[in-house]
Amino acid sequence: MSVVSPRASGSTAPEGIGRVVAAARARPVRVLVAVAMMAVLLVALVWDPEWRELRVVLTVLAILIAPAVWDAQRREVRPAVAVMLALILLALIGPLFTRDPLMLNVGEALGAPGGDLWFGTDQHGRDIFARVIHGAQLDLGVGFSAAALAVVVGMPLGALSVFAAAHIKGGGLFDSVLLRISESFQAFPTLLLALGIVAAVGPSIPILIFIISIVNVPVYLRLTRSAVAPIVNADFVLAARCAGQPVLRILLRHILPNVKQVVLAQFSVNVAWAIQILAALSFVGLGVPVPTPEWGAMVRDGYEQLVYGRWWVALFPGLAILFAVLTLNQLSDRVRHTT
Amino acid sequence: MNADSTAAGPVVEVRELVKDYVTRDARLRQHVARAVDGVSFEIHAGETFAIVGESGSGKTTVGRVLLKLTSATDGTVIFRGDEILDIKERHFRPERRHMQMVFQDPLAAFDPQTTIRSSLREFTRLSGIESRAEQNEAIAEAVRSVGLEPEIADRRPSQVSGGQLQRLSIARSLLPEPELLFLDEPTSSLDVSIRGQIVNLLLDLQERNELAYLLVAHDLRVVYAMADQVAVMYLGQFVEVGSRDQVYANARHPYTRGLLDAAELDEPPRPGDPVRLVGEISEEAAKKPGCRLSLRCPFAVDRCEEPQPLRETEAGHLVRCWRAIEQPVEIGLPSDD
Repeated sequence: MSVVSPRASGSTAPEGIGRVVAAARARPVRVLVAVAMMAVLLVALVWDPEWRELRVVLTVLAILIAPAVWDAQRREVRPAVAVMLALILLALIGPLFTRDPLMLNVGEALGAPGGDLWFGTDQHGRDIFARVIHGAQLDLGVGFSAAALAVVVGMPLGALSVFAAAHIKGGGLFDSVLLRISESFQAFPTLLLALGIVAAVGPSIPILIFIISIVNVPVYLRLTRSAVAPIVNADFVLAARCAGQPVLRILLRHILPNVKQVVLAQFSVNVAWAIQILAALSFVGLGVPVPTPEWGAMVRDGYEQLVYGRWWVALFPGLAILFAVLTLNQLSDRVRHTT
Repeated sequence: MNADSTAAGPVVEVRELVKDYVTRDARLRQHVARAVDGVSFEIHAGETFAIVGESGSGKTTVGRVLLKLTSATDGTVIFRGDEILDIKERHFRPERRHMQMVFQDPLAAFDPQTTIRSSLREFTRLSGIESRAEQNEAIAEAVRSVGLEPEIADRRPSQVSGGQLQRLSIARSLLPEPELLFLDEPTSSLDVSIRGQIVNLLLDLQERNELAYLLVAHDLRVVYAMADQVAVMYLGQFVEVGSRDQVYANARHPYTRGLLDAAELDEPPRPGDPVRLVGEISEEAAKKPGCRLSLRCPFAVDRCEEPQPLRETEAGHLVRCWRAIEQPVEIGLPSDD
């Protein structure tokens, strides 16, 4: 680590927009790929009004994680990010090229994999391949939305509560109250809490996202809190105070960037977890409404068929869950081990 | 203490400073630990006031209170003629440019997530430089003034050596052109071979900019090389204060002599037998009315349990020990006569 990073520019570096243009000129291939990706994503956004919000989330995510594929400084996370990116792109534009996942065809019901029907058909004759690809959109979309919402609420609250306790008068009380609230949330078993709320309000996508995120907020709150606690009185924070910086700026510029690694690692695990909760809710019939392709619901439909030897109905959506969860866990693991 | 050093008033004057740390246990009972207990001193421009003492003596707390990085419990700090302890942080922020700090561990003093340049840039804003080009110019000049090439600022803190980083930390603290610099153990995390360079650099910068230094250290060689005035601190109190030569060559308090003898300094020569302190610093001792050292002091007698004021033995030389003043021969010091 003794060499200067090649990106480091001297005091002669251009500023503002000029800097972006110069960077773009230096790497034309990347710019081309980026533009192509944007175009693809734009198509994915406009083609179908249904689940558009979920596709927006996935698109934003794809744009956010794409640079990590090139980042030589994060060599360890590159493969996992690349797989994740491929998965997201598949979820975004894959549905354009499959059959209709809702089309019933009783004549072809429970057909084994083969020919045009790569993953076979379910008991209503629907194409399982099409349903798995469409399900990716929903599962990844809900998973990321729920995890992102939980981070957006939990992380600033966690950081603020420790920071307030250390640097602002009366912050200790705020910290304790927040902790007690989050503890009371965590006292319930996650699935039970989710079941209760869904049973009361009825299942719908926004409600599901809200529920999955709300059970995750305390996780981020505590995680961020414990990550911020050791650095809240670090010398570089004191130095920033010596530089006359307001506390909010110190929090945003110096504290949060130093805990993002930990939170990011948790984020990937959490998406996986959210997908599992969604699948579990669907499995007991409290997830997405019936004909919608969703991995957990498909596994439930298929598991009755397992006893008759029709393994493909449950296997492929199950594998999809497994693959997404494993990728996310791998990503989380790699992020945690980069410095 | 030394009113004759400069015609103008002191840069900073501290009077009867007290700092309590209040903690609560599981039953919400209050525990008060007095880290600083009635400390007074002043520092003039171009002068170094050093505080020495073991870890836990409260010396770093004095500096932090002085810079308003932590609140004081009682006492006054007069900086450039104004009382500052009661000023709200919001109003005080612009004043921060006049007082800066150099940290013990330079690696901890820089945000690991950003380049050194961006850390330095924050300090240029304090002196009102807004344009990026001018900021870079000021940074380059500051980095050169500590003997480094300006390009080094584009690295991350982990990519430069400890000695270089401490130079950069010093450069950073000088960017807002302060009058007072709090040096918190500026050499103790560095290799011995680098310490001398940093000491010389600090002395150089002090001479060039007429800086007032508050030096906190436990390396007595560094203090001898840098200080004009020395205070020896034990459990929140000054036990001996004087000019450097008074304290080093003519140490009176048993604690001072114990520190000096343990450090095995070759110069200056000290009269009397070496003093060995026993045991370790214990916060319990800070709660008793008498001498706080008595449990560790080879000369302790019953009268030491009475309150001990700081008393003058010679002009500008204060000692908090009745035996050192009234019975010097009994504790191995040459008689004053």
